[in-house]
Amino acid sequence: MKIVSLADIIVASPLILLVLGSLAPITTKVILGNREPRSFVTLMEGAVALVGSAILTASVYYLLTARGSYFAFNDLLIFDRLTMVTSVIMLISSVFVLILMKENPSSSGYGYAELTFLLLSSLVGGVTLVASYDFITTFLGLEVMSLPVYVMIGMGHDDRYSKESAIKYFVLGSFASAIFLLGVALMYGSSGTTSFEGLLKLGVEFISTNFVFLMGVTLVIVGLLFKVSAFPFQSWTVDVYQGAPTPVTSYMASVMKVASFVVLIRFVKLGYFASSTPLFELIQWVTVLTILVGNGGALVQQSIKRMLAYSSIAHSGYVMLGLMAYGLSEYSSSEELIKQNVLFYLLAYSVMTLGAFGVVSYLEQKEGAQLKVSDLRGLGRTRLGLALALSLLLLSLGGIPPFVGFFTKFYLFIHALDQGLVWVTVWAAVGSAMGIYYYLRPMVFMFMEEPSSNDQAGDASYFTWKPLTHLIAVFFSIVVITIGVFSRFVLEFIR
Amino acid sequence: MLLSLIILFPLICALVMALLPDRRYLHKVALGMSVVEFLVGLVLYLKFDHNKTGLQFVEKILWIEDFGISYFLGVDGISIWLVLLTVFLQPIVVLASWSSINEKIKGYYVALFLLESAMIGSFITFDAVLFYLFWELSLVPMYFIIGLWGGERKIYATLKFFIYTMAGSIMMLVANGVMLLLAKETLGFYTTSLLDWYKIRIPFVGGEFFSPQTLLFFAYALAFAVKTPVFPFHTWLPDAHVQAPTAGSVILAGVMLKMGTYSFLRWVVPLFPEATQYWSWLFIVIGITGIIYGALMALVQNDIKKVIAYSSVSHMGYIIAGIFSLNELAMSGALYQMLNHGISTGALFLLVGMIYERTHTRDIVKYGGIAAQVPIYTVIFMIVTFSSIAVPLTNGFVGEFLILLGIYQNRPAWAAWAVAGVILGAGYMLWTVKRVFFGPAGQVVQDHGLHDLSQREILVMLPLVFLVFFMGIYPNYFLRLFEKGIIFLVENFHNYQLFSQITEGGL
Amino acid sequence: MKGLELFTTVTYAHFLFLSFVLFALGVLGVLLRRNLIVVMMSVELMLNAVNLTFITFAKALNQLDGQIFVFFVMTIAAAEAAVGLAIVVAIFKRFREVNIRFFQFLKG
Repeated sequence: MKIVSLADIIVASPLILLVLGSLAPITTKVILGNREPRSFVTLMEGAVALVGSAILTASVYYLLTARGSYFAFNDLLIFDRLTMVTSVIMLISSVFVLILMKENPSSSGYGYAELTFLLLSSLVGGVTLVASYDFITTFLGLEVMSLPVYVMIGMGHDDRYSKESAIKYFVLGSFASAIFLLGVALMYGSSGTTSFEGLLKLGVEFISTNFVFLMGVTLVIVGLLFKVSAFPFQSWTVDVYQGAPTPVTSYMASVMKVASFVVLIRFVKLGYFASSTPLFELIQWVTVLTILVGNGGALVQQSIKRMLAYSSIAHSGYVMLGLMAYGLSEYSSSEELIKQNVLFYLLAYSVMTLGAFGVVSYLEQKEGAQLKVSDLRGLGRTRLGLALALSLLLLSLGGIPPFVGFFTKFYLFIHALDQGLVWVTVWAAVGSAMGIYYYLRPMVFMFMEEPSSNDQAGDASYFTWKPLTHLIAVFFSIVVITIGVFSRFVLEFIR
Repeated sequence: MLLSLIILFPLICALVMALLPDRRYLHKVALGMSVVEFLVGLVLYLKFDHNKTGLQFVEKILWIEDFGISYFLGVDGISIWLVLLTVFLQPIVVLASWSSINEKIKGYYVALFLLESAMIGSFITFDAVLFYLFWELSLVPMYFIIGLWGGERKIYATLKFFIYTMAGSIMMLVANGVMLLLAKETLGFYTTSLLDWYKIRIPFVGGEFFSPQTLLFFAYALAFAVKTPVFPFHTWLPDAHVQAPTAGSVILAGVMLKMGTYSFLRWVVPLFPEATQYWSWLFIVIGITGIIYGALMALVQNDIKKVIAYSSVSHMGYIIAGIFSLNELAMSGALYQMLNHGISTGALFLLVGMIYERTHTRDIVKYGGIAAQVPIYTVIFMIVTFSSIAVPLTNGFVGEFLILLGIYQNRPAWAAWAVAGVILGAGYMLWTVKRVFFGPAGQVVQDHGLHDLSQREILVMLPLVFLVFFMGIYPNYFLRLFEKGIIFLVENFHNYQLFSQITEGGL
Repeated sequence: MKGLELFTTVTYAHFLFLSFVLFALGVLGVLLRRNLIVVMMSVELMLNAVNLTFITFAKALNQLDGQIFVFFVMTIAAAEAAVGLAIVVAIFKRFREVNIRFFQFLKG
């Protein structure tokens, strides 16, 4: 039994920095005698912690590259390329979330320091989650990531929406965690280990012969599917995304989803998909229905946040398509490539979602504002840059070339076809086409509708000045174009 | 480099337009830039070697190596004329927009130049992913053009246009993926280059629908069928045309529809030769149905633009029937007709736009007897009508005659039906002309005093009229390049026979 | 096992059965009960049922892994309960109700 060594501490240093960084805003607040510090200070503290953590992660990885991957804390954590890339993505995205939080009326002002603390704490869980290599750490990461989010949602300044979202998410989230845990227990009972390493050694026939184990795997997958909003566990997503303060929503939709998918990626790697036919059929159905429900549900939505929530459900479906292809590619040459393309999709998806919610965040003028799509009316006239940014982001989400959203989707389609998932891909394509309408509709309102006299978006002086949010949205939209074209460089990074 | 320049230049123009302030002089700037683009196109034509049968000006750079996607451009005898058509129509369209587009001028020209770039791109690219990129990309500016500067029901029309076309082409995306994997299997490496794909032999079983080649064939065909449009996927076209601003209609009819038919020729026929042969009867039937249906629908319309929209459907029917007759005569005719349609229908839409600016109505009921007020306009309209009907000495005659001859070669009985379409075509066009221009003076004349064409408008129409006659009298000038292009197509089939009868000019 | 032994001898199966029953009761509670406090109790019940499962398996396999896991789960469950109750208190302060039926605002 290895004792915790210095190398372990070094490898965990990003996490340590995050923890320390999360305490900084609160400490500042206390020092100031319980008055809210200037939000810029808090922002800086949080951002420094996040960026520092990201840099640490990258450097630790490159220092230890000799071994390819590194296990820490007695095989509980793994720091391979997947961990590094995903952690960096998550940490940098969270910087943007912090900026959004600073300027959105639901989360700025009082409570901003606490929100920063909670966000960083949640990230501690998130990084643990992507680095986990044993079910103990996975569960730990899941919970540590989710608990602060429950609080963040509830802390929204508005009266009712955020509290309702908080309790809904809490109840359903705990429920799913408990199911996940039961699954782990069953897997443990039938196999005698909770470590991924041990499970890898079990061999793929184990799942088909041992019923208890199969039940365990199913329950674990059910719990994880909840976290990524797959059908039939997607109903919470729409309500919770809508009610939560928009910056928190953007955090949930980007970072938390990415982290949960990473767990699924590792889980899939354990090889259970190809061998167990009934489970696999089920996952296929789940994927197709997720895509269809996501795209279909968004078509009828009036509220922007609900529409984006359904859109993110649909995107979860596409990622699952990639996951299935990855699971099937056990011995094929393109296994690494599929994983990289799935990661690329997750990265692009985070950028697009953050950008889209960022624009929505900009447009919110008071707490609890439930923006409808029709509220975008006339935005093309008053804030052309923002309108264009949103258009580009929406087009990218919809999968229109030459934006990155198209390329990532296309790559996943290719891999799915390669592994023989023809019908699923066809349905995914159908769902994709179905969805174009709701991506186009906001553009119609922004540019092609005339603002009536009492519409807000058309009134130039109506918006408070939110420079940073504006900047983010525009920046992301540009990114969205360029990395579509120059995806080679991004892929190198992921490789 | 030249081809990249042709695609890149409109993009640069769009960028320049985006940065300039929104003033009226933008019209002139746009005209200048589109003329420059046309000159670039002319240079391309002049440097084009008339005797080579393969691709020229080829540019191939590996772009995404994981999947063998490359930036692959090239022109041959078929695409050169379509590229020229596009760059030729652009200044005309810009000139025509001077009077009709009065607000958000900047955005309009940005969209127009983006559109030009995307359309040219889809004509000259030989890589599947790049093709899909340009194909879908062309939807976005058109969507904005119709949606922002269009008529009363523009939102409905533009959404219908976008979603319909995109839904049609989504299967092509899946098919691209399948082809990519087939390439890996049969050729050994990932590639999306069309020339490589020509070498793939896709398994085909005649009777079954589910054989790979048939499925792929229909996936591609569906996408192009929506774009062309082929009956019964044409329903987006009348709405889009009617609601679009004049220039939008001209570009839509003049160039974008050709994207569909050209793609049939470039992608569907050579990639899936057995399936094409097997299912050619279906497409000829659909084509002829389209001819007659379009003509009949045109007869009963009251909106002039709708008449012309349905005439487009009818003309496209000819082209489809021609392509799928699979002999050289018909294919040359179809290609020629593509150019003709661009010119004549483009001209028709321009003319309608001009009269609409004066009267603000397109309702035929309100028209009548305007010939006396606008004689020059009448003459030009008649000339273009003759071109559309295929009167000898006009370009339309050459194209249609070649197609009819080609259809007759393989399936004589069906050619009779197609000829019926010619008669119907004459019917609706001449009847419309009669109702609008001749006869008792309609309400329009009484309400407004119509003034004849301005100098600018004459300038817009003059090149088109010239081409109507030039192409009608000396078609060989254009046809001989087609001939080479079609030979290139034939050479890329691996087991397909085109009846290669080289005719001189077809007259 | 003979009939009587089923009720007189306690084996691992009994423990597992008990934990599954507890888990099922917890699930039913989350799905069917209207009072938020009761729902939270049901979630706790589910987590503790899983704890029981872990311990049983750990003993059956003669390992310590399961029992260590239980420590983690208990800690997390406590934290979760704290957070959940905090949210419930906030809701009660605002709405003066803890009935789930009350929450219809977010529909549509």
